Amino acid sequence: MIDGALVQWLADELAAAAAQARPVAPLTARAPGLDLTGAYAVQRALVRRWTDAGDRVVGHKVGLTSAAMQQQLGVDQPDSGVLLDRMVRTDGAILDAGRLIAPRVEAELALVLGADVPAGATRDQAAAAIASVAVAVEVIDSRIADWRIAVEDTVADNASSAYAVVGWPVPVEDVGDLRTVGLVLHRNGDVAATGAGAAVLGDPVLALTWLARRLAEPGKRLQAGQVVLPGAVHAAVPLAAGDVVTATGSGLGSVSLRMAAA
Amino acid sequence: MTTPASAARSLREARLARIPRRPFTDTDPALDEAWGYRVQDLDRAGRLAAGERLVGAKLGLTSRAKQRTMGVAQPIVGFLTDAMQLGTGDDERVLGRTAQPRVEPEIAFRLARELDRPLTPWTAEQAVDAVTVAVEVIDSRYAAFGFRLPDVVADNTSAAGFLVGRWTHPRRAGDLATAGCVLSVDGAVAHTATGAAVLGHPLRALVHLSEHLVRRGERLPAGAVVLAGALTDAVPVRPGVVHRAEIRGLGAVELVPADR
Repeated sequence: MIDGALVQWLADELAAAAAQARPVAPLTARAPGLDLTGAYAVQRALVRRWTDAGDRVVGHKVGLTSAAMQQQLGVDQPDSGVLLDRMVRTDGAILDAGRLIAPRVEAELALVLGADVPAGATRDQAAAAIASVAVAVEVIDSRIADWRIAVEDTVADNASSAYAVVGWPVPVEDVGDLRTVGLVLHRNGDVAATGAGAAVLGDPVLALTWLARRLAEPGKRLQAGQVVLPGAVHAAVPLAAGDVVTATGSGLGSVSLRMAAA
Repeated sequence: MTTPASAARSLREARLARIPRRPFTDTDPALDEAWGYRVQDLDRAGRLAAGERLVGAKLGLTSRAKQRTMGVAQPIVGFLTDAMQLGTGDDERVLGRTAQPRVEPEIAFRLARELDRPLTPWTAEQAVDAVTVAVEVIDSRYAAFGFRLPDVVADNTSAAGFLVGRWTHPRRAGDLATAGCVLSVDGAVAHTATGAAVLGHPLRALVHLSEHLVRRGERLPAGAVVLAGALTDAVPVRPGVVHRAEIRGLGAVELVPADR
């Protein structure tokens, strides 16, 4: 465990790294006492800095939801980060390469909540809280140099989140089984990756029940109106200046972003 | 150089004995894709002479990733016979007839009419009267699936068996490019993809097949089955285990092989 002063110091350092798009060395290499609890404390301090400056929390993202990613980082559970209003963009978004360090993209589902999800929610209760579903491109980025991350590094760094370009939501009744919703990621006209909802913990709804449990503390809960990115359905694809990326989902239409030159 | 006739003979022996062999290109680096198809043609002629019936075709190397690995820009084509068709009750045959079987999820098309002319992406759907989910069992006659392009073409693109699901009219199947595909093993998700993993759209496999047939002066009859190509990486086939492929709009199909 690390003390409160170090938590704040690491949060300040990550905030500066994000603001200047200048990466820092792995936190775990410099603060060996940093465990998962401490990493979430750093994330909370980082988010508090942003909300104190006027940003609004509009949702959450869940990461490390595939067996492959969990093996790679040596963990047996997902992680999560916070989505702020300035991170969530709409179709046709143009992102500034100069504000990102080593960005990657993933096609994802975006789940829009119509009701709160309490900490002990069952799978079916969590499913019933989903009002609508959209297709999204998540842009991830690491403020840790060269993505040399341990799980504590990425958790402290707000789960390596950067942007989510989210399409128009479709009522969940019209979407049906989320496990077989397919997602196709095109980059500059070529199919770069494909996957289906079942890649997320076997069932994307389980990302909601996990997240609801993780957020369980006074004053925190998964709320109606929030958007949740439940996790990637394919390995992340590098994003370069000039790239145009489109995600298309079964019955969900598509959403695009362009990465402007630096 | 290994003659096509002797290569076809050794591949048949390797298949029947279930003992994988070394790739021909190890000793004959000059062998090419055309040589591979000559071997495949002899293999097919031999099987048909022995009483097997031609029931369709299959495509391989339909993903960019696999094409890059093999250093090609085009898919490859193999043939399907009735002896490869698995159905309810005879799934146990899979392990008894193969050496190192793997299974992959696919989209299968059924031809509405004879395929004897080149299709375009805009006419391909009209050539099909039904579509479904399938699992293909592949089994290389080369040790550990270690082969180069001419070897795998000669080996009928590793074809071993296939199991198709319930046929659906293409118009009721929905968009095949975005349809999600889930391959699971005893309930655990192994891989996911969508139809776009096959050449951007699975109907493109049919277009490629039509061009391949026309170039070779061949045709496929109405009712023939076309396996469009693997949607995900393959997983090893294990006895007593449920290998399940599900595709949105097409249903699911399960292969549960008995111990050999």
